[in-house]
Amino acid sequence: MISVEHLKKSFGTVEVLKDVNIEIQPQEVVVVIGPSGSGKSTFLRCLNGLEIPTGGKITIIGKEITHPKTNIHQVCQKVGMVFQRFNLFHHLTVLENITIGPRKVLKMSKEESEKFAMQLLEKVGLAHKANSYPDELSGGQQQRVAIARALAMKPDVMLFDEPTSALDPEMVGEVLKVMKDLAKEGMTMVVVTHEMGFAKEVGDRVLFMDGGYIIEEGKPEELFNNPKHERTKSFLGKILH
Amino acid sequence: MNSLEIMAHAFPQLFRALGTTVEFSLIAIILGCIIGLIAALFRLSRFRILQAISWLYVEVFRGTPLLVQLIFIALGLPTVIPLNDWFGPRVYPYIAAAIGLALNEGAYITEIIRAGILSVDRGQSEAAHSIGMTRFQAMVHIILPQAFKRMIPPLVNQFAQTIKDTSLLAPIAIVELLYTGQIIVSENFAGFQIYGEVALLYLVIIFTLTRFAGYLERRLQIDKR
Ligand SMILES: Nc1ncnc2c1ncn2[C@@H]1O[C@H](COP(=O)(O)OP(=O)(O)O)[C@@H](O)[C@H]1O
Ligand SMILES: [Mg+2]
Repeated sequence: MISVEHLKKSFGTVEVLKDVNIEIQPQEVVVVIGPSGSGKSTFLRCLNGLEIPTGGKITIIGKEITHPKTNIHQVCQKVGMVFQRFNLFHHLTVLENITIGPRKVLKMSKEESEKFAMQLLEKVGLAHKANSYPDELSGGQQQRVAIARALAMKPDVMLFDEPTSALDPEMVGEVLKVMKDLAKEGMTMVVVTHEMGFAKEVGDRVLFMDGGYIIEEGKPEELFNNPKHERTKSFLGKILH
Repeated sequence: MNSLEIMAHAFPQLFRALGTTVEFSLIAIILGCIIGLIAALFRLSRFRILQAISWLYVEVFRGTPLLVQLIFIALGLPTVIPLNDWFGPRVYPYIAAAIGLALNEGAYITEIIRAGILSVDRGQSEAAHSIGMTRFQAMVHIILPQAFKRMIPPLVNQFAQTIKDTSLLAPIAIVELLYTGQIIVSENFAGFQIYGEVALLYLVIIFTLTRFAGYLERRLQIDKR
């Protein structure tokens, strides 16, 4: 479903991703962990075209997005992204936030897009907030709307960049629940998070990134309990306490 | 005649001239907004050549006095291009005045729109990209609507400035408010009353404009956030 080969990304002279390689299967849930600044966000952003790699090859659903002739917008509308800071459109209502993609990009009718949006809002438990503005919602609610907005594009893959780390602790659970449901429904997901519970419950694989490389990968239990690399050990030691 | 009678006597003529002032202001504001939007988008585009054109335009028109620009277009250009023949010597000064004002206005509006667009958080365009919008769609549906609200106060300032700037059309013989005042004073020598009245009329329209803008801003704050 996603294949990344020798991915490199530099900002100016700073090489942030040095050589990232990974294959992600359909319906797989991959959790990415690693210290701040290790390139996790940059990696995700390369997967949906927010950053243009400086080297290597990314193929998503058979389309090579790193190829200059590929229409990045067409491929990337099938790759949903949920951001740490939600990034809901402040000038639109919750419902409009969700319908604007289907309407403007997929040219869906207003009725159809609203019907689908309401189903998605039901799913994330926020149907009663359809006509509110994002700034009237709590962080957890905003993040659930952001998930619904991404799902409205009927994505094949969902990327999450620390979706709960900007939230107050009491709101983390409601967002994780929506993500777990999604994982159980068979959505392919790449999730940057340090929520170990989530990784253990629905993660198929955990990647540990550091210094622009994937240092180690494995099944969640395996990697958390028996990390092989020194750097993984010391990192896990820090976040588990 | 006492002062009030002098002013009342001149009022119909000045009021008609005020119409010309308002017309030129509206033309300059509308064209200036269109030019400003295009130049701002040029400036923020990925294409170096468009960026350069926009930059040069803004620098030239903000870096030279409006009066010089107007005189150059109205009186300088016709010495090398037979514009007066093409449009007629009575019509061309009006065209020159409208174009000069609009270009000058556009340069300032470019900067206002550019600043407004840049003030919108980058996360908004990233989110737009992530749901498959093109840069253009993101600009139209996501960025500009949010930028617009923040642009209202500086835009209104600029519109008020434009109204005042139309008085610089007097030297190129456009019969607007100030020039009409000068004509009246040359007949009745009541400079104090007539120029005072001219100033008052400018004040009235600019005050109306800023009031309306305040109302608009409050409305937008209530309707949408
Ligand atoms: N747009 C950018 N310009 C320059 N440096 C950047 C940019 N984005 C990220 N970086 C740098 O790349 C490194 C990795 O960042 P990031 O991918 O956000 O790491 P993580 O998400 O793992 O914390 C950091 O050192 C950061 O400063
Ligand atoms: Mg990050």
